[in-house]
Amino acid sequence: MIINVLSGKGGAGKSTVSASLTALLAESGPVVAADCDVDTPNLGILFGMDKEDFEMSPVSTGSKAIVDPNKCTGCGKCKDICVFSAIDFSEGKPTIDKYACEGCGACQLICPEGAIELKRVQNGWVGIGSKGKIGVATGLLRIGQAGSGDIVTLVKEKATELQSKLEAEHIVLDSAAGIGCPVIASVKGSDYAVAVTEPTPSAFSDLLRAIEVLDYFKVPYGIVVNKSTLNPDFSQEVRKFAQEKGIEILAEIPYEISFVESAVEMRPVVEHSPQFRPLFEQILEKALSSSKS
Amino acid sequence: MSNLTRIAITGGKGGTGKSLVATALAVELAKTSKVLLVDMDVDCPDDHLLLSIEPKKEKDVMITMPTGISQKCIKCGKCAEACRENAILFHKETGPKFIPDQCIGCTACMISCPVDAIIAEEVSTGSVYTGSGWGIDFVSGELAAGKKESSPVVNAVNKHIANSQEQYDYVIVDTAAGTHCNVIAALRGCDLALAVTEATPMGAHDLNLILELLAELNIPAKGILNKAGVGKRELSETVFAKHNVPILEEIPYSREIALSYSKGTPAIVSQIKELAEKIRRQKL
Repeated sequence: MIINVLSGKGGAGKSTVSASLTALLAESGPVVAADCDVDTPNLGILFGMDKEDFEMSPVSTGSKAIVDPNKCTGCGKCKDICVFSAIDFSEGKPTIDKYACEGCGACQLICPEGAIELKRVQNGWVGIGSKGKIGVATGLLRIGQAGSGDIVTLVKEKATELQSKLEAEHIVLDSAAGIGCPVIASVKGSDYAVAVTEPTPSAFSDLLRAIEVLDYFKVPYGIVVNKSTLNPDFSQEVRKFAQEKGIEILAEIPYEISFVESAVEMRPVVEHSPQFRPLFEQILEKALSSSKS
Repeated sequence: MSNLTRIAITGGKGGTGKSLVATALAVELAKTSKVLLVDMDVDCPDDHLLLSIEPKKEKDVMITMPTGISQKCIKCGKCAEACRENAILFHKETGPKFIPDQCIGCTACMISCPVDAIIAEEVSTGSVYTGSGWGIDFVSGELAAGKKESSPVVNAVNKHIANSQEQYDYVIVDTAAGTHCNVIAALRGCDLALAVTEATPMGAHDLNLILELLAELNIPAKGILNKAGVGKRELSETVFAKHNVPILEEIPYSREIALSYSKGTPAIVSQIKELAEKIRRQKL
C-alpha cells in the first residue's frame, strides 16, 4: 500500500510524520520511504542519513529551446506562441530565457525556418539508499532547473523498484509543500493520504487546498492536527470542520520541544521520544485499516 | 525611489517564517513608505490570512487547452508526438484522447495538427487577487486546485508588479518553499533576498540549496535566523558562513509571535523594526 503524507503548508510536520510512520512499519519488516520533495529533499536526515548514504544518478526529464541565429529570420512567431513568456526579442532576434522555458516545443513546431532545436538538459538526480530495514528513494532538482514533477514521478518509480527488491509491503511518500506539479505527481496513485495541518488559519487554508487535490484524484484521507496545543481554540475549529465533513482526525499531536530535538538528533520521534509512540501507532493503524475497507 | 526596491523573502524549507517576516516587514516599512506586498506562493497563498486582509479577485488567468477533436481528424498521431507532457493518449483506430491533468496549455498539439482538428477552450488555471490593509497594497496569485501549470499565474502576478512598481518605495515578495520554477520566477528581478531559516538539520540543508540558487541568479542574500534559541544554531551559521552570507537579524522563538500569527495580525517585534530600519538606511 502507498501512504502519502502531505499538508499544503510547509513546516506543518510532513517529514516528522513520514519518518515516524516509516520507523514503525520497519519494526515488522522492510519498508520503503520516498522523499517526493525533490526541491529540498531532507527526509533522509530524519533517519540519520546524509548524502554519502545515497547512490544517485543523473536524470534528464526536461528540454530547453535553442535558436540557431543563422537560420532565424526574426519573424517573431516563436515569441507569440510561447505561453510561458520565455522568448524575448531584442535586435530582431529571439533569445530564450532558460529559467522560463518549459521545453514544450511549441516554438520549434511553429518556426518556419527550422531554426529552433530542443536540447535535453540534465535537470536533477534520483537515487536510493538504505538504513536498516528502511529503503529510501529520493530525488534532487538541479539548482535553477525546472521539472520537479517529472523527477517526483521517477522517485516513485525508484520506490516501486525498491519495494519489489526488498519485498516491502508498504511505501510511505513524503510530499513537498504546496499543491502544484510535484505534489500532484506524488498524490496520483496513492492508496491513502495523511493530511498534516497545524492550528493556524494559514495551515488550515492550505489543508483545504490539499484536500481539494486529494478529492480531485479520489484518494481517501484523514487529518493529523500537529502542534495542536499551540492554539487550542483553533484546534477545536479543525475538529469541528472534520466532523461536519465526515473526515477522520487520525491524531492530535501536541507541540513539544522534543520534536525539534529529535530533528536535531536526526532520529524519528517514535525512537527519540517513545512517549509519543501511541499517537503515531494510531495514525498508522487508521491509515492501514481505511485503505482495506 | 531607492535603489533597494524589490526584496524577496525566501528560505528553502517550509514553515521557517517567510510569511511572518514578509508581512511584518511590509507593515513596518509602510509606516514611512509606500509598500506593495506580493504573495508569490501561488500553491498556498497565506499572507492575506496573516494580515486579515480580504483580497478581491482581479482577474482569472486563462490558458488554452485542447478539449476535443473534430471530424476533420485523420488520426495521424502528430499531436500525441508533439506533446512532451504525456497529456495525449493516441491509438490509430480511436484517435487522440486528451488528459487535462497533464496538460500545461502550451498548444504544441494544435500547432502540429495538419488538419486543424483540435477543439480548444480557454480555461482558468488560477487567479490574481489584490487588496489593501495596514497601510500596504497587496497582490497575490492562486493556482486552481488540481492544475499543475502555475507559471502563467506567476507571470500574471509579475506583470502586475512590473506595471505598478514605480508607485512604490518597496516591493516585498514572499516566495513559496523550495527552489522550483515558481520560486525562481518570484526571485528574479529582486534587488535583495532575505533567506529565513531555522536551526535544524533540515532547515540548514534547505538553506544551502536556496543560497546556491540565489548565487546562480546573482541576487545578493542576507540571512534571518528565525526561532532563535530553538535547535542548534551552529547548523545555520555553518551554511551562512560557507556562502559568505551575513546573518542580519535573529528573531527569537516566542509565544507572542506564534499567537499574533494565528490571530491574523502582523508580528511587529523589535527585530522586525530593526530590520526595517536597516533597509530604510540602505545599510545592507
